[in-house]
Amino acid sequence: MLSNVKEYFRPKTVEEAFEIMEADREHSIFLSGGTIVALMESSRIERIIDLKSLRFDSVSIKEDEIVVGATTTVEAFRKDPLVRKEFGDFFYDSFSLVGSWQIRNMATIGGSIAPKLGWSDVSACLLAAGAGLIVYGSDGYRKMLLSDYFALPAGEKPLITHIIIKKDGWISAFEKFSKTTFDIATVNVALSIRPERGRIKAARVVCGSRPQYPMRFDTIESALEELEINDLMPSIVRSLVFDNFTGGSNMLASFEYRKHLASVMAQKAAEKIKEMVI
Amino acid sequence: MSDMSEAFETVGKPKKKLDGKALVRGKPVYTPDYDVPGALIVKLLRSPYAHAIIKSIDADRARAIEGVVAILTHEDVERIPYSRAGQGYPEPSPYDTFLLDRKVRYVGDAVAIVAATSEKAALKALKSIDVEYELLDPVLNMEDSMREGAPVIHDEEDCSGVFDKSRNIAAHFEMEIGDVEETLNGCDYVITRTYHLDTQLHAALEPHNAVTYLDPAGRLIVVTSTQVPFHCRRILSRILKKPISEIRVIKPRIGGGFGGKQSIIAEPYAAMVTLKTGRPARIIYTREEVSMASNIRHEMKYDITVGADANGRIKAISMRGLSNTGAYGEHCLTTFMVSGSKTLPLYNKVDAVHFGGDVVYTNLPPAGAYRGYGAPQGLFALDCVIDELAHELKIDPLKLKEMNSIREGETSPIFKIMGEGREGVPQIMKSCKLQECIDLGKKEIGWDEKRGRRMRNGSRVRGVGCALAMQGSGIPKVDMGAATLKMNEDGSFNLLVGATDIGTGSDTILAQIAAEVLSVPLEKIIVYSSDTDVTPFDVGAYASSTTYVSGNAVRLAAEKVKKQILELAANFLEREEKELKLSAGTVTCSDGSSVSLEELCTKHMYTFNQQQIAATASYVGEESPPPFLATFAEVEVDTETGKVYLINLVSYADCGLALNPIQAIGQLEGASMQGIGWALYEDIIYSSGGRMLTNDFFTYKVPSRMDYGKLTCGLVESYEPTGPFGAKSIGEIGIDSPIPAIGNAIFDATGIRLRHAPFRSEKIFFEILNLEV
Amino acid sequence: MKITLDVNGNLHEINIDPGDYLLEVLRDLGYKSVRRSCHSASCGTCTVLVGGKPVLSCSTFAASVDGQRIETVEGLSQGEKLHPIQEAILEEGGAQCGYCIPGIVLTGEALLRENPDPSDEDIKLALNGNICRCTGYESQNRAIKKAAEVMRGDDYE
Repeated sequence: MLSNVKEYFRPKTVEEAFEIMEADREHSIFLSGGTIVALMESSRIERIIDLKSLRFDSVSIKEDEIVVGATTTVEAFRKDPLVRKEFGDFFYDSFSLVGSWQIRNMATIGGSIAPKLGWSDVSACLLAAGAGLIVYGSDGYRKMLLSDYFALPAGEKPLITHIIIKKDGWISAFEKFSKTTFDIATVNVALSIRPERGRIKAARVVCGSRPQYPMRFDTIESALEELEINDLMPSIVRSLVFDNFTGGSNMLASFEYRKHLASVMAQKAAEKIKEMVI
Repeated sequence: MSDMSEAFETVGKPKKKLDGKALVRGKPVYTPDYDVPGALIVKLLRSPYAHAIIKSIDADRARAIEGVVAILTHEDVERIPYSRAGQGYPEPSPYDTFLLDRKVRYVGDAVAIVAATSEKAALKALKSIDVEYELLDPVLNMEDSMREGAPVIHDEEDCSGVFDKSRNIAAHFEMEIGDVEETLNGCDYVITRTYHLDTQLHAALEPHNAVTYLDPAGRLIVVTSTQVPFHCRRILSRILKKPISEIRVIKPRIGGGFGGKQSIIAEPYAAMVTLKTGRPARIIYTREEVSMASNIRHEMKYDITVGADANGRIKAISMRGLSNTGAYGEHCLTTFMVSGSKTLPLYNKVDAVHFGGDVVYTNLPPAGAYRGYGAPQGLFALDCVIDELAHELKIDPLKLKEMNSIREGETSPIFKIMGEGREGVPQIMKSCKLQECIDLGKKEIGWDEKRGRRMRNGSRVRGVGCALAMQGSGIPKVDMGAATLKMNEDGSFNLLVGATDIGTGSDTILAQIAAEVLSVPLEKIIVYSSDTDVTPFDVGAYASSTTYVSGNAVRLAAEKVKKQILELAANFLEREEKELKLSAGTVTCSDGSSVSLEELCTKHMYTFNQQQIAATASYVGEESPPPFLATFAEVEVDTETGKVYLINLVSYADCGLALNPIQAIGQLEGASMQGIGWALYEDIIYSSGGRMLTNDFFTYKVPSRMDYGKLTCGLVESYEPTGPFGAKSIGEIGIDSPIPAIGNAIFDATGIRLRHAPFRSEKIFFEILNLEV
Repeated sequence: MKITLDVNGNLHEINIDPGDYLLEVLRDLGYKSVRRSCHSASCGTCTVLVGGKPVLSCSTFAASVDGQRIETVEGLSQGEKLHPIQEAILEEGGAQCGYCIPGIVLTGEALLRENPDPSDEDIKLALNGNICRCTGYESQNRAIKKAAEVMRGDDYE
């Protein structure tokens, strides 16, 4: 329990939220969905800054981009008609087993990305979708790629206000392996490709819950370029993932097992993509 | 429903639970729901080390915190050895536990008790107690407990009932019938295998908790989430040195137990605070404490040998076991014996049988009672080795188990030799419909069509497995239950039973029994249970005793009351008792005269031959008639990931007459799901220092709704003449069979024989990989 | 700090500590049906409806739902009349120890509001976050299906 919390803030603007955080970073925490904060047993936290009061909880279209407010819940996002129209069942299906229905009603898109959780299905899928972020920091608003956000050193992180997903016509699929259905991934794989004339023009290959945070594997991505999308494609994807997977061992699985699982999940995702393209 | 239950009005009918309305409406009926103003919050400081001596403990800083009322260490409480085991007295478990000791024996062991006016203050105090530990080498693996030079976990002078302290052996047991070695020499087939079943958490949704206070007369009142209120009272009396007459234990609704609350765990700490401060106290375990510091299942390993002739008749079985009782020995001997006494009699046609082994201490969380109580562990070894034998003999494993298993009218010498912690009683199976269970189950799963086929579905392969099980109904000549029935002037009855409803619906079925005997609708029976001041004695909810033992007590009490009613009615109506009949709430005479129960009681309460119509009756089982179970599992193993998908688990049980078919099936389904979880998902992992890492629901995964395909449970009715209206029991047996059935199914699917459960997908994956290489 | 909670149509103006979770605040207000079983948002026992959506009260700060409409199971039955899900659970034997039941009734109600004719898969997915250790799930799933039928029926309002 957070027994030392003394102040609860409900900022009306992003600037206000950021300012409140800056006033005492060490003892403050941004609250979005709440599920991560609730898992903490920290006596360090004395100030909670509730981002939901910013009401950044809608999905809109702007030219060739879907713009998602950072405090949109996972459930609202996956069921949003605009999202389903643009991305089909990719997010709808991929996020259907994020935690439980209750957790999906609480966890937000921004809140799933910000703590850089290893197991986050949301992060893995958005990374594969080539998502970008609008963030607010000490030098005001800027845009950045999700992968760059993950590369930031801890403690430097700006506030995520929106997630941008381009309507780029790529085909995506996601697979995860977990022990039970209400469980974090032992390992997950998100695959996204740009098909052109029956070949993979470009690809984004993401493995997450390695157990470390989701990461794109550019060696695999390069190797997939120009590959023909046929019955052999999925097993090629599988071997590439097996050969290039990096990660570690923990309570859930050994590195060896993860490697095998990642490659199998990758093949399954590739199968799905093949079916969608052909 | 059945033919037999057609003859009854209330018994055998799927009546709604008496407490059901309150449960679905979310009424405040559990211990934490009772507001006790001014109750101190009790928290425990726990050891971070698996094995250490407390060299010094300084709570001055903590005592100075505002809101902290009391801090108790081993220096503040009298040192009294006891056992936490909720068992009949004298308990067949070592007295090796102290409320607070100078030594800690597992990560989580209690070091100090903190009582404060707020949770915040209590938690702050926990962080402000300075303890200096002298670390000792721990024993973190049961295989190391008896090794030469292993650290001695219970070296204290004042513990008793330990088989051999110097070698960490809490209990030891040996039994042989016939000459196993000689018989094996005469067998055509002999196989020896080792089976190992890891521990499991109960994961009842309501954490262990209790609230204690002194009533105006100075008596200690304990409201607690317990399965054993009377044992709780007795053991508290010992620990607190307070006479039993000055303690009252009340069990309200509880949120599950499964054996985890068949030990006296949280109550003593709160009670001690109340006695020392004079103030009410409440203790509620966190989920982490429930997992690490209440009790867990006994991990057991068996070396098992089975010998048969060429026709498949099993002639000899030998089981040598090692059981891990953790840091303290409650339930150590009895669970070990049950793993033989409630499994081996199934295969009663042997010429010789041996069962023996050791229960050892380790510096891990204490093991205790858990549904099945040793039978699942023993059955994993016994059923699977017979399954393996079948494959050696190239016989259908179901056929081999069928032809060697016990039937109605038969007996096994084991019943006499092995009870629980002592000798048992001989018994003949007066009711056994095991064959019918097998026939229904094998048809339901499609045994003959699917066995050995290894149907493929992409990278997945299917298989089927079977397992047969038995259990018991109470501990014969030991478990006693009693009931008091008293009548009210509106023709209703108060039924007071010590029997403990832990969600099982026992209040309801006991009321059904009374209603049936008295020929009144169920609504006329008002049940009040598990209050040591008001309800008569009952051992509590364990050993599948409630239906059989407590049920018989209710039946006897109801029959006594019925007799009183008829006697009084005869006097009132001025007729012969033998001309009278009680039915539908009225006593009628063959000549047409009658009196309603309402009128009879009203008159006898106020104006005529005034007396309270009431009776108390007790019952002790002379036998423990086993329920029987046949379980079939169909699995699909993904050869690319090692994951096992449970397509269908089919379990048919013979529980005698099902007093309430919905509740009975509910017990079978619930127990089956716990067995499924144990087989496939419920891993317990310790750190290298012996700390339980999987201590919350985030890391310890019990099955969710989507984690299985189909669960098909059914009942086969038999009639047990010694049971109330023919009933036996059903509470535990469902958990015995899923692990062997699933293990056997995995073998059928893949040819991989797993002898260590839970069946982790990573292990299966690498076994498959090795096979392919 | 002061907040206002609308619980089952009752307005509560209360003083809380900023770090208080909704679960304990509701229990202190007398809504004892909201119960704690774990500390890691992993069991669903503490489920309440906020704005009609099932969420975990153990991980929701009371301050974050200031002014919002909260439903607990106490609000679902009117006097002696049970909600169809509650009735169906009683008929099917879906409540053994009962600890998980308030969460299940509320999550089930939220499902049926959104999807009055759920398939077995819909029911399992919606309630996958509501752990039950006693029943083995079969009776509860049947109860939700049964309640859905009752609620779609002509006699039901």
